[in-house]
Amino acid sequence: MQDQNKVIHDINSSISAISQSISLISDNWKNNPEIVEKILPLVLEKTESLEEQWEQAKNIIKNKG
Amino acid sequence: MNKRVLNFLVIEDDDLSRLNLVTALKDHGLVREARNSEEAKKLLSEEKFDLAWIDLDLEKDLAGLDLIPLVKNKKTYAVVLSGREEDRSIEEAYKRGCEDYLSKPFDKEALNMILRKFRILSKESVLRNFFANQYVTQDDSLVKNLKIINEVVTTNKPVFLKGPTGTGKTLIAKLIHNLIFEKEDSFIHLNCSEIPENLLEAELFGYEKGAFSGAEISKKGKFALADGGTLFLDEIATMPMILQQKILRAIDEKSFYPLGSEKMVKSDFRLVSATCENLEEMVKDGSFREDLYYRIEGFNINLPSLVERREDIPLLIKHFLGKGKRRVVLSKNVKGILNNYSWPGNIRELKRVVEILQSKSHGLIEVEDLPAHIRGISSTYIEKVEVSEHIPGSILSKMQLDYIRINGLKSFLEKVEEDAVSIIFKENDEKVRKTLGVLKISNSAFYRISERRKDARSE
Repeated sequence: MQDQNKVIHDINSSISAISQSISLISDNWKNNPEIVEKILPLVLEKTESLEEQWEQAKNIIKNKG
Repeated sequence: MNKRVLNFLVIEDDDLSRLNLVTALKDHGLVREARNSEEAKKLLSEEKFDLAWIDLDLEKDLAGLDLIPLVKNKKTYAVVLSGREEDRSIEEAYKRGCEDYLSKPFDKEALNMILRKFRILSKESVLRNFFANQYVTQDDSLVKNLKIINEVVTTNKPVFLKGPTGTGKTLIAKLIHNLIFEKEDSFIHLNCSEIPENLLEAELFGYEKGAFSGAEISKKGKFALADGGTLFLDEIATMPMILQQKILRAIDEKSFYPLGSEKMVKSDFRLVSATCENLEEMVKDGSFREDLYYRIEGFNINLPSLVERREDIPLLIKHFLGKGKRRVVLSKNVKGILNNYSWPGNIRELKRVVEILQSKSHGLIEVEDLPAHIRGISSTYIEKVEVSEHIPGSILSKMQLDYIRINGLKSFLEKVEEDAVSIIFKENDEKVRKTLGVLKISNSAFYRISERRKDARSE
């Protein structure tokens, strides 16, 4: 149960961070490319973490049967 | 405009989430960031923040919970951000004093919602304090009318206060300033009726050294001094026509030239104007510029006279009596007279009467302690009205002098004008031309005074 809560928390946090980043990139890519440059590598990193977290979630669901 | 800038503290260990939040909040204020509890504690001990955004899971799970009480102790609004779905975490965060809990994922609109809520709550505390301690009323229509103040902060439209003398126009102007600006921002109050016509222009625009004879040094005007704050033009109806035209540009474009200067000065101020006259009528009869009228209008707030909200009189008496260090008690008759008196000087007059009563050497205030003009007018409460003696060498009676002491000369002169117009008009079979001949006043002055009298009678 503890693991499950943790995984849900991590997935929520990652989705939150990625969706906010996309919104910021959309608002700033023309006028403030510096911030976009800063955000993009972090978004890629976060997307990889999200994939891992989703794998963990799938395992939990599978194990629950 | 030097609008209230918010100070934020973002406490978030995840680099991307922190960068997102900091970037979004930069549009609304100054942002400081902490990556863990230790950095957060240091910043909280050194600086003052309006809002703290706390991620629940920092260097260890739920570390953010321990930061909530620290944030609250600093009177900072605590917002918790978390991806946790368990009710017990949310409950615990609220128990420890967080004001809002944002569940991840959340978007920009959720942030804006929190900021709107924070601004409304901060305004409410100022408003609550104002209506509890400074502007006492239980009059429904006045409270409804004053609710517009809530909207004043959301735009930069001018504010126009209308109401008879002594109804608290300056207090409301200051309240609006306090809602929008910080304490250190300027609140510049200019009563246009108190400055001689020939000095008003220099007072408003300022001047350069040598601009006119006597201008030995350069001086900033009220427009410049109000930069980043509020310019309160009181009794704007008394402004001469020629100056009304000159201030249009300063109000419109927030730029002007000081007297004797060719250098344009910019000043970003919030305009609040006030009058006790009927400006619409003045526009109709040509004594006030229509274009200026439409520029000073925006949020219009009408402040009724005290007799229009008679139920507030006992409340106000109690309020002002409670302010003095020395406590006195009013007899039943005194209360009756005060509740029924017409209060032409409104709250200002009531406050001064209470102050006079508080200064009496005895503690129980009787009818004889009341100023003569109040006793005289409230004749239903006393059987015998004293004949007021005249002051030697003056056309004033003692009662009239008493009235001036309490209400001020302006209110007395207005009353003289109204009574004179009414009596002479009746004596002349209500013929306007004949009345004007006797009174030796202009047509527009006659109608202005008659209108004022009608308003007072309808009250």
